[in-house]
Amino acid sequence: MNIWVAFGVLTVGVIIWFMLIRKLNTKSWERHGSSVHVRSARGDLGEVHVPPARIALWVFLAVITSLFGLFISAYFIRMGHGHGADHGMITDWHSVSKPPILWFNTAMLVLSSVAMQLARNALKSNKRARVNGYLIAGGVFAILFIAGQLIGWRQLHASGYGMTQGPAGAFFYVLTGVHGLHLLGGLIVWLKTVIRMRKREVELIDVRLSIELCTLYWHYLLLVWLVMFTLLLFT
Amino acid sequence: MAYAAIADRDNAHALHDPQSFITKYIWSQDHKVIAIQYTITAIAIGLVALTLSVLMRLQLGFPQSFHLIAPQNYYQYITLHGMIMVIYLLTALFLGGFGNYLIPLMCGARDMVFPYLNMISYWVYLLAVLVLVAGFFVPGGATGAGWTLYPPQAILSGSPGAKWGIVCMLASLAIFIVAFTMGGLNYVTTVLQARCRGMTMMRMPLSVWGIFMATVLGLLAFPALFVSAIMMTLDCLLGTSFFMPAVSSMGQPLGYNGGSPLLFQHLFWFFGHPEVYIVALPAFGIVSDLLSTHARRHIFGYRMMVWAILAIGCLSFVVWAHHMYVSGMNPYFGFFFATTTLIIAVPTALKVYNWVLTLWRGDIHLTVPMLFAIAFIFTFINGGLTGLFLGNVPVDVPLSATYFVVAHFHLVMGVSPILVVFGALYNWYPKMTGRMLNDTLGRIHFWVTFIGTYMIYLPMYYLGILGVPRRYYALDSAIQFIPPSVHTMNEWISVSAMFVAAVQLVFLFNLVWSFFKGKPAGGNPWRSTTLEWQTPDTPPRHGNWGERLPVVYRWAYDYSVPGAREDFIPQNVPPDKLTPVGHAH
Repeated sequence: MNIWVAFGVLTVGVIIWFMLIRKLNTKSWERHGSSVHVRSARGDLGEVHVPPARIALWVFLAVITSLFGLFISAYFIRMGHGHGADHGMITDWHSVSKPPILWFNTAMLVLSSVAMQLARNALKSNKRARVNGYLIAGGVFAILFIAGQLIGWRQLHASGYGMTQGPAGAFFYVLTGVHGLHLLGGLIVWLKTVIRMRKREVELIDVRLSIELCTLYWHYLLLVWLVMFTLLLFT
Repeated sequence: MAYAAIADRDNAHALHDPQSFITKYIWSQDHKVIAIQYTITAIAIGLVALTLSVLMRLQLGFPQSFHLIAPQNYYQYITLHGMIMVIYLLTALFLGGFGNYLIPLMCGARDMVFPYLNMISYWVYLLAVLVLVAGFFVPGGATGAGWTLYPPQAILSGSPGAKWGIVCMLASLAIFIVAFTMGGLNYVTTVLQARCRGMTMMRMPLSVWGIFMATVLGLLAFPALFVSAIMMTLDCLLGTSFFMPAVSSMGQPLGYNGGSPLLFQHLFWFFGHPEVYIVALPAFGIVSDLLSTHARRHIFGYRMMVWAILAIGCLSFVVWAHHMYVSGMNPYFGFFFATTTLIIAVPTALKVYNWVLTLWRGDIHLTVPMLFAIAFIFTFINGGLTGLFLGNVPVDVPLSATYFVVAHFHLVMGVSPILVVFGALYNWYPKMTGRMLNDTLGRIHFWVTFIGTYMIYLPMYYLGILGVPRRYYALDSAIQFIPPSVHTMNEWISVSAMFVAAVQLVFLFNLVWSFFKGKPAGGNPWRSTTLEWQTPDTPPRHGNWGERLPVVYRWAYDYSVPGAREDFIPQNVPPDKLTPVGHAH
């Protein structure tokens, strides 16, 4: 099992990396080729480059794919190969009861992702108020998610599963903790964007990239959470 | 501005020159200053590791003589020496130092694409170094678990620093990884997005290719170390059992149960093997450029070299368990990893052939950088060939944990890359400071280092074949099969090591002295083709290129082109500006 999980991680990493390598033949200084078309209220901005921040975010997603993949890989190995399990001994893995609030949290994170996507869509029609509204909604849902996760931790702890009561509980805290920290990092960027949007002189076009990248990151973290949640539910 | 590509920012003033001393040299966002900060910090912590190795050699060569070195100290020295050299010196110096300095200059960019992130990356790296050093001063001292930090012994009371030293170590590694990720995102994005007009990927100097690929490896492999560091910290501080099996200490059962020490080994080496190439690939790239420049000949098989770098990078992720042959693995598992390990020798050997063929009929100038580059080829072959022995399971098992392994990995990933580091410093110091390093001191430094490392490591192969185990504090009386010659040999190795360590002071003196008194270098002392030598100022000013970005018309290796007036054509010389032979200026 473990080796296949490791290879799964590897494959995902390689695929993402190949998406990058497709860029090897592009000419970064040229205006056509890898370009996106930008329109704004002030008219057509013409073709421009893929902004460096977008590339950097994709590379970063590859990094955290590796990170979460390895955590999940470790999860499987620890579950299946607890000390002595290979030799017919009973493993010490005992499933923990999952706090029901996790379902609520999942709903919050889905709503958060949807709101971010709506903010991104509203960018195209250049409706500032709607962008602002959806953006704030997206962040608030994400904060609710994190708060819900913390409540989940307390509930799990109260039901007798601390860090030291078996590996399943410990992994639960670690996986959700790492995921939550990544979402918190996203919220810092989100907060900066929200503050920038409050300024009069900041045009929608100036925050467009931040919102797009936040949306991408939100979707990615939703995907990670869904994978992890499935894993936690069934093991 | 937000959408303008970096390559189109022709106006240097848009990057507002820093004015005060603090913004210029301390909180600097200039990639060249950050590179030098990285380099100085890495060399400083590297000197600590060098001192530790001298202390270890004192103990091994003269076991009864130094009562200051207790067994637990010896283990702390071993651990910190390994960890510092691999991560805090070599990784940081190649990627943070040379990566930062060379990528924007060689690609024709004004700076990294995220200068602020770049600055933070350095300061977080410095924090990691400080936390690491703090480990020496916490109660119980630094960790003595060996650089692999294998549980369970790493956090059991028998190991030095099992309480706080190991926590400092793990915290420092986690911080380092954060710093590296910030830097790495910059390097990759800069190479992909900020190349100047005409600089296709297939025209990039191999130095940039090596650093680029090493960064990609680092970004994908360091998370494995991060995962293991976090889980081990939790095992240590909160009493979880990720890696810790049920163990008793002094007859008392500890609270751990069911953890898998093997899981740690897999995670550690899933990082650890790519780490070898994180150190080696930049060295491969840089040495290619040194050889080509100082042999006045184009690099042989440029495309092959690029694909070899890519192939090595991919393969390096599927060989990790060859570090674990003696962990009791399934024989088929071992067979698989032995096969992949031997396959990786193919692209590596291709590179060696190409380096030698680059020298073939070249106009070889035995400058100090060239001496180091040629020494690298020798040393890499020596170290690499013994890797074939260790890659095979049946040969590895008896040699495992002997001095054979110590000699192998020191030659292949310690001495070889450090020779390139020296060569590269001699080569690019003139661009960094505007002055040449002293040639005589450089030659003394080279010959003592080169000959000296062989006096140290070749005998270690012999010790290893005799079965002398590594990581032993002392060999006397306890081990019956060790002949007296081993002790003589150990004395010899130790004395050689002192010489090699001492001559590094000559190098340090050279670095400082030449900064003030060195011969002025001019813009392009080695008559190189690559872009960093074509900057309007030496050292390059903030923004690198003055008013206009360079435009590239050719690959990086137009040396001794038939019919050309000079024996090199810089990358930014347009075809219509070439002066044919005999044409007066």
